[in-house]
Amino acid sequence: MLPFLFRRLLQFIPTFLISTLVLFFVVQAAPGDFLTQLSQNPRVTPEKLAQLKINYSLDQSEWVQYIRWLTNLLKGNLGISFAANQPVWDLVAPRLWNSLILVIISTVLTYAIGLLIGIYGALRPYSVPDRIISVLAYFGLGIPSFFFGLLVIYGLVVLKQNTGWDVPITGKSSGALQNAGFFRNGWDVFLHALAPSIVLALRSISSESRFIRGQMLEVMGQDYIRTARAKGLNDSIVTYKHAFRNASLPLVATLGSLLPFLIGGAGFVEVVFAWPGLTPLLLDSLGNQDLYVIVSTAALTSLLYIIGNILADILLAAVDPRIRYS
Amino acid sequence: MTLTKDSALPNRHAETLLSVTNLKTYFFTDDGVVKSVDGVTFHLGKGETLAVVGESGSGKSVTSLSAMRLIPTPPGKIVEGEMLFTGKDGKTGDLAKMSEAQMRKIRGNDISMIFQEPMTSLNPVYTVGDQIAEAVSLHQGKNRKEAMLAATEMLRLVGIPAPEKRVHEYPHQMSGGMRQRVMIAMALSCNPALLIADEPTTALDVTIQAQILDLMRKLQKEIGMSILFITHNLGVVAEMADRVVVMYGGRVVEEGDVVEIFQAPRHPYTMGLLNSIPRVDHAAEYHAGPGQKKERLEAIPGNVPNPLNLPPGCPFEPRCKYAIPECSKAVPALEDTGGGHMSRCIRWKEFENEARPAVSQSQNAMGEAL
Repeated sequence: MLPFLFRRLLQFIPTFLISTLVLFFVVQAAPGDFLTQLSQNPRVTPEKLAQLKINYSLDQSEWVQYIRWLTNLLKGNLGISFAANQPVWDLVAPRLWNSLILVIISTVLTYAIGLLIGIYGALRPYSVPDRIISVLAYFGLGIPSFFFGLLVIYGLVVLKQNTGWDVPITGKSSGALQNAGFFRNGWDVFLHALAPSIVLALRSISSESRFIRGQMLEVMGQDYIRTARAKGLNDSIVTYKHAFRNASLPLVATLGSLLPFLIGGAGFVEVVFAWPGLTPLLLDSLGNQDLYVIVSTAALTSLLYIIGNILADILLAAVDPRIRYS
Repeated sequence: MTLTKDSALPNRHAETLLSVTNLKTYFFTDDGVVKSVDGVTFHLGKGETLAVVGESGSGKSVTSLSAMRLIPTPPGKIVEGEMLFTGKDGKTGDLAKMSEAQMRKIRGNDISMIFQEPMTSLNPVYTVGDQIAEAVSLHQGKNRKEAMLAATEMLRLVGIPAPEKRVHEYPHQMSGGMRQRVMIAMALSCNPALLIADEPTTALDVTIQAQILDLMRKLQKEIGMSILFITHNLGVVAEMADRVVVMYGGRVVEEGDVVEIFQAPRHPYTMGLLNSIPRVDHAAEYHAGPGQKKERLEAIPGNVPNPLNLPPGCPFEPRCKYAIPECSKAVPALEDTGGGHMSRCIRWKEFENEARPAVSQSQNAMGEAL
């Protein structure tokens, strides 16, 4: 097991270097740089501009910039944001946590609801409820999240007008509650996170339930399920002990991609609900070519990706006795 | 081995364990109704081994799954028939009409089953010990520790070396023959009254087949269960069975004592099956060069009829070399030809004087087929 982990970590090094290098050059390939905007500003003198260029290393070649960024990264320094004029980590960290709130709630919803309706569908395939769920799932997969987000906002506004129930639809918290205590604030954040999390979960519930339904259906047709029934076991033991454990193996294998998704997954839903997550920041950074915010976040994501995959490998070995790393 | 074994004497098994009458199991598919089992009647005595023989699609496996009530529903359904079974508690009930809860008490406890594919019949994510112990604790109320001990003992009984160690192993760590032994251990762990073996040796190589058959015979003597042996291998039938039921197109076409079936078959399909066994003593003729007396292996011409579209008369009529116009008019009745030997052929009386291969020769052939 340990040599295996070591090998995986070694494999990570080239992956990491190549992905960040490509990203670094792609971002730089766009015409201009962060200072292009400033150069149009009559109040910024050419001397000031030249000074900034040197400060931000933008006068150097891309290779030199990349090497400087990489050596800083190894020291734990993600670089600075040109736009915010503060270290990238200080800028990214709070937004990372905000995104995590959404993604964790929606992931819990995904697995709780997705597994339930997936198994339900597999136990009664082609029944009327299963067909209804199938149709809904195709809608869930087909509808773009940002558009569904707008529909939900509209629905919540109508709900508020008719019943007075106020489910917050923008932002992360109600400003008035600044000093209301931990639990009060926590509940407030949770309420704000509810709508975007559900929108976020819809898509993954749809795909996850389809996936687990297919897996369960396949496993339920296996010979060892017939053996289990021939032993006299009841349906729930056959389903949950014998079938589900096998059907969940591919699910465990895909858990590895969950970790990077925890960072980047919230996406446009954050923009629609004005949630102060990572995506709005990244979009702004891309717009004004805030180089180190982009590449450092990407570096974090690829790091999480490799960690996630290693964790998934370990987990898979724990649930599937046929898999041994030696 | 001699075929005149005492077990083959008629009426030895006075007590009936399972009596199936007019069983009909149909599959309702989009293309129509498939009458996989269409009015099957047979009985099985206590301690007896009954072989059910037939080609793929003859309904033999569906018959056995019907007895376990393991027909996937939908599309399958037992539409008619009675399956009287006497459990270990001495009570007789109709398997066709029992509730699911009653059936669960019988499955694995009174009736056990082993399957054709040992490689896929065990759950890959649980140890073999777990899987045997599961049945033991379910039916005998033992706790986990006792059940695991029982599982170890069962593994020892079926001849698995180092059972204390093997009991903690997973199926993928074992060979096909080992896994079939595990399946047998699981099936016999609750001392069933009836073991249904659905082609248990088909997927194994020949030397392992013989070991598994020996093991089953030995355990049958020790435990005293009856065996319903589903197979298409006539060599295995000669080796194992007391009586034989031959199925074709979802119906029983011939039934009788194993010696009778081999010596004096009364149905052209059974005759065809017996003639298609390669004979060791004819090897020279099979390989005869030019100018020598050449002999070819006999095969039954044609294919099994489409179960969606069975001929109106005898289902074997299109392939039968003895067919006469009468045959295609109606499905022949299963008639007693004497001494419990039944045939579903309108010309069975004419086969009495057919020249049949001598018993000793067909035995050699069977040894080879094994």
